[in-house]
Formats: sequence, C-alpha cells, structure tokens
Amino acid sequence: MVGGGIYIALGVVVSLSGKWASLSFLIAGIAAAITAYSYAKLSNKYQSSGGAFKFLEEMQHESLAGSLSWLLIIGYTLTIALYIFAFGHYVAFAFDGGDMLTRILAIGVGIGLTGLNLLGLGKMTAVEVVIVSANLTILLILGVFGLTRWDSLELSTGLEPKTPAYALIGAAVIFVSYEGFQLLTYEYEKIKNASKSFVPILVSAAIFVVTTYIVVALGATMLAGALKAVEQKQVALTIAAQNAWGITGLVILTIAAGFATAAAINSTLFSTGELTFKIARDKELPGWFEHRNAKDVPSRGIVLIGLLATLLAVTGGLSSIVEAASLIFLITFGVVNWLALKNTHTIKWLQWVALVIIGIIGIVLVVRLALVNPIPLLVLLIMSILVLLARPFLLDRYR
Amino acid sequence: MRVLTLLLFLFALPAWCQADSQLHWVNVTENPNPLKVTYCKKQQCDHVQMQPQTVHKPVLLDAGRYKFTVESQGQELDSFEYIVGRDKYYALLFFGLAAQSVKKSFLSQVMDALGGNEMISKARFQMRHRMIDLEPHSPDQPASIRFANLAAGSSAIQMDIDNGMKYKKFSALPYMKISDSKKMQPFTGSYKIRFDNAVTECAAGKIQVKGGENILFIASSISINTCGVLTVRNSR
Repeated sequence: MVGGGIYIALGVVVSLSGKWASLSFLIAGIAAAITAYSYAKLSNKYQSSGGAFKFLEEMQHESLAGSLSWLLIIGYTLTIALYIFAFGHYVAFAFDGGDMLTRILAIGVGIGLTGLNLLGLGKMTAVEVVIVSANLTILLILGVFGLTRWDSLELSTGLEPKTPAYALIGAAVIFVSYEGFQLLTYEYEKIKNASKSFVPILVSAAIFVVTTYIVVALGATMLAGALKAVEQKQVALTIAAQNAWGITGLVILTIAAGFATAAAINSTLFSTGELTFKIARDKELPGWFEHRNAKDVPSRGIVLIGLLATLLAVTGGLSSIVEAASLIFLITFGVVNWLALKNTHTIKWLQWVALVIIGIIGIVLVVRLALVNPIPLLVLLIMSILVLLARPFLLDRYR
Repeated sequence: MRVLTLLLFLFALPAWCQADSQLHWVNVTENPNPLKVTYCKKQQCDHVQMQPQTVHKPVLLDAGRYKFTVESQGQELDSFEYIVGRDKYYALLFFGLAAQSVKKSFLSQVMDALGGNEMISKARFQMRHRMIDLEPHSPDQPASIRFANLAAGSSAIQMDIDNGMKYKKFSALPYMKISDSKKMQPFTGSYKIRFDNAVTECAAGKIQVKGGENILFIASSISINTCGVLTVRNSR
C-alpha cells in the first residue's frame, strides 16, 4: 500500500496547499480509510475477489459494472504511468541525467517490467514484502528525522501564504496516492479467515498509510524546505534526504524510490492484468483479453496496459497524469461508498462523511482541471463517453 | 532530566536562530519606468527601486511573513505576500507587462487559487511575480544552472551551453516557464539562445562558471531577431 504514490505526491501537494500539505493528506486519507472499510464490508458480504466490478455485478448492475471496470483499468494505467514517471525522474536525478536519460529509464522500466510480468514474475510476494518494508522504514526514518528539525516556517518558506481551504485542492489532486489498498480486495479469496480479518486488516493498513504520509509530508518538507520541494517536485524526497544526510541520503533514497516504484509498477500491472482477464471472462471486455500465455499470465491485457502506461509516462506531464488518475479513483471510491451505504450493515454516517469529502474534493478537482488544465479532463470525458456509448457496441462485435 | 532538557534545547535551537535570508531582485517587466517595491514585516517597511531589465543587489531579511507592494510612477500595480525562512537564498522575479494595476477578476483569482504554482491565467501577460530558490552550494561542488523564459510575448526559447568539451541543452521553454537545473563542473565557455527551431541564435555570450554557483539565465525581452538576457547568480 505504501508504494510509489508519496514519491510524486509531496511536491505537487506542497505547491497547491503550502503549509497545509499534511492536512491535504489527512482529508484525502479520511475518505480513503472509510472507503477501505466499505471495500472490506462489501467483500465480506459477497465473499469474492474482484472489487467494485464484482460488487456491482453481484447486485445485478452488469452494465454499470462493465463501465466502471473500464474506467478503473484507465485509472490503473494512469497510476502505472505515474510510477514509471517517478522511477525515471528519481533514478535520472541521481545520475544528473537530463530529459533523455529520464525517458530512457522510464521506457526501460516500463518495458522491462511488462516483460517480467509476461514471464510469470508479476507476483513476487516475498520480494515485494522486503521492498515495501525497507521502503517504509526509510520513509519513516526520513519523516521522523525531519520532525526532529521542526521549524514551522519551513512548511511554507518561499511560498505565498495560503489558508487551510487550499488543503482541499491538494487533497483532490493527490487522491491517487491512496489507490493502493483496493488492490488487496482482488486477493480476498486468498486471505485466511477473511470474513473476520479483512475489515481490521484493510482499515488498519489504510490508517497506517495515512499516518505515514502525514509524517513523511511534514518531515520531508522540514528537510527540503517548501520552495525546493515545489521547484523540484519530481524528486522532492531525494532533495529532503540529500539535505539531511548528503550524498548518502541521495543514494539511499534513490535506491528506495527505484525499488518502491518498480515494485508498485510490477504489482499494479499484475493486478490490472488479472482484472482485465476476469472482466473479459465475465464478458464485459472483448474476448481478446481472455487469453493466458504459456506461463498462465493474462498476456494481452498486461502488454497493452504496460505499453500504454509507458507511452503516457514519457509524453504526459506530472500534473496531468496525477489529476486524471485522482479523478478516476474519486469516482470509484464514491461509487463503492454509495454501494456500501445501500447494501451493507455498516456505520452509515462514516460513508456519508466519505461521500461528502469525495463530493467536495471531486468538484474542486473538476473545476481546477476545467480552468487550469483542461486537456486531461477533455480526454477523460471523451473516454467516459466512449466507455458508456461504445462499450456495448464493441462487446457485441468482439465478445 | 537535564540531558533531556539539553536535547530538546539542541533540537529546537535552529528554530530560535535568527539567521537572515538573502533576497535577490530581478525586474524583467516590459516597462520603461523603474519599479518601486516596498516590503513590510508587520509595521517595519523598507523598499527597493529597480530599473527595468536589471538585477538589483540582494537585501537581507529576517524570517517571517512579508507583504510586498509594487508601484510604478506612484501607481500601485500589485501587492502580495511571501513567507521568508531562516538562512535561505531567494530571487524574486518580476515579469510581464507592468503598465497598469493588476486587477484580478473573480475568475482570475479562482484560477490562481486552483492553479497553485503552475497558474495559467487568461491575463498571463499582466505583471507577475515568482520566488525562486537561489541557494549556492559549496565551491567544491558542481554549479547549478537553470534557464527561464520571461520574455513577454515570446514563443518558446531554448538555450545551449558550451563548456568547451560538450553542449548542455535546455529544451525549448514557453513563456513563464523555468527549466530544471543542470549540474556543471566549473568552466569558461559560451551560451547561445534561440527561438525554438530557429537556425540562428537571438543572443549569445561568454560565461565563466565557478564551483557551487547557482545561476539562472533569463531570456528577459525580445525584439526583432534579438533576445535580452540577464543572469542572476549566487555563490559562496
């Protein structure tokens, strides 16, 4: 769950929310933690892996399930693009590389990990546990070390002062950094005694991630300084580590960022490939995706998503990818909370809180995109229309 | 207990130190008249007078929240605030057309609020300001070089630096954009600036770069086939 998100989110959120960046992580985190609870409750109710797509299908909303699943696949593709982008920038920065090296690294990791997935190495649980644990330790050490250097001025030095309301803009834009936990719902059937353990596992994990992000946001900004975090937002955590521990910090953070983002690309690609296969098997994607290679890997979905994400990472800007992905996950999380509210015995006011937060920051994000960065919004809008209108036609033709 | 108190004191010490920050001023606005910038922390005010297309000598500021008011020929053009930290190095850039007061419509204010650091306003050629980091590194480290296109009305502009052994290329930047920094070992060489895809340069010159310097090249103005260039630099 603590994958590549924080590596690209910090500079972006500080540029938008100033000293209220940690409040942005908290606001988005509250919505994410409640959504984790909703996901867990719905998974328990239907006793199946498959996430939002499966919940809607169980409720006989096949058409909506199909549309949402297409949207989710676009969201995951953007998320993978984001991790590829982060990998390229963090590693290239350590070698003082320019745009060309960044692109070469991004293309290399995108294609390389797609190939690894095709060989059946997409699910390397033990390796991922080691990488995530090491990554988490390094991030927490960095965050706590930064907190020991507390000086509230550092949270906004060199920036124009902002009011707490700006935290909503930051929360909207970096919402994608909380998408990771829902990948666990695709593994529901593999979890022992899931009906009892899934709610506490998922909710406590979500709360832990929110706390980690807040500590890292505060600590790393303390070390980098707000203006530097903004100016070098693609590598803000490296700047923080370098300021704290010099060249050693740069090396350690680059290794952590490289492995964390690579692991996040690998696991998201694997999960999305499996999701496309499941959706195709349920006849909501063209039958072309219902194919497994000799290594029992859903190869066509993985190749298509891997290449598309790589292309997006080397051609798209950081803001465009982050914001488009955040908007898709805001929609998905909103739907899941609504479903939980209507179909499970849960603490209802919690879902209302999540829906209100998601509604407000969703509107903020749409207005921001429309006024400041309309192209990603336009592309998403066209894709959504295609998903709604062209999907039935495509399915009839290629099922 | 004493050890704990001492430790707490040591951790909190940086916050109590009142090391001044250094603020450089750059005026690349399209305005024949000087800009007067008054900066106030609470009730304490001071000002600088900046001729057009110049870099003004830096001033030292103690940490805190500052209000800046920009005037030209007695007319207030803009006012805004920045947080100044402890022991920092900044450059405050003024660019755009500084002919009249910056009156922001509601829509423009919303766009600026939502746009954050990357605002793109309809009134993009109005006078604008931007704070950048100008911290120098230790002299045994490479220099950091950035390039900015602040020439109002220009198309994208690119820059090449020749350190005598190889070229460092800065990709073409549209108006208002600042590049990422490139690290370079000390050298004596030259730079060339040209409009995107143009064959001939619109500005060229020689440059000497010291170790650890933080340098910003600014394409500051354009006229037929020529570009004005300013450099802001800081070293230890």
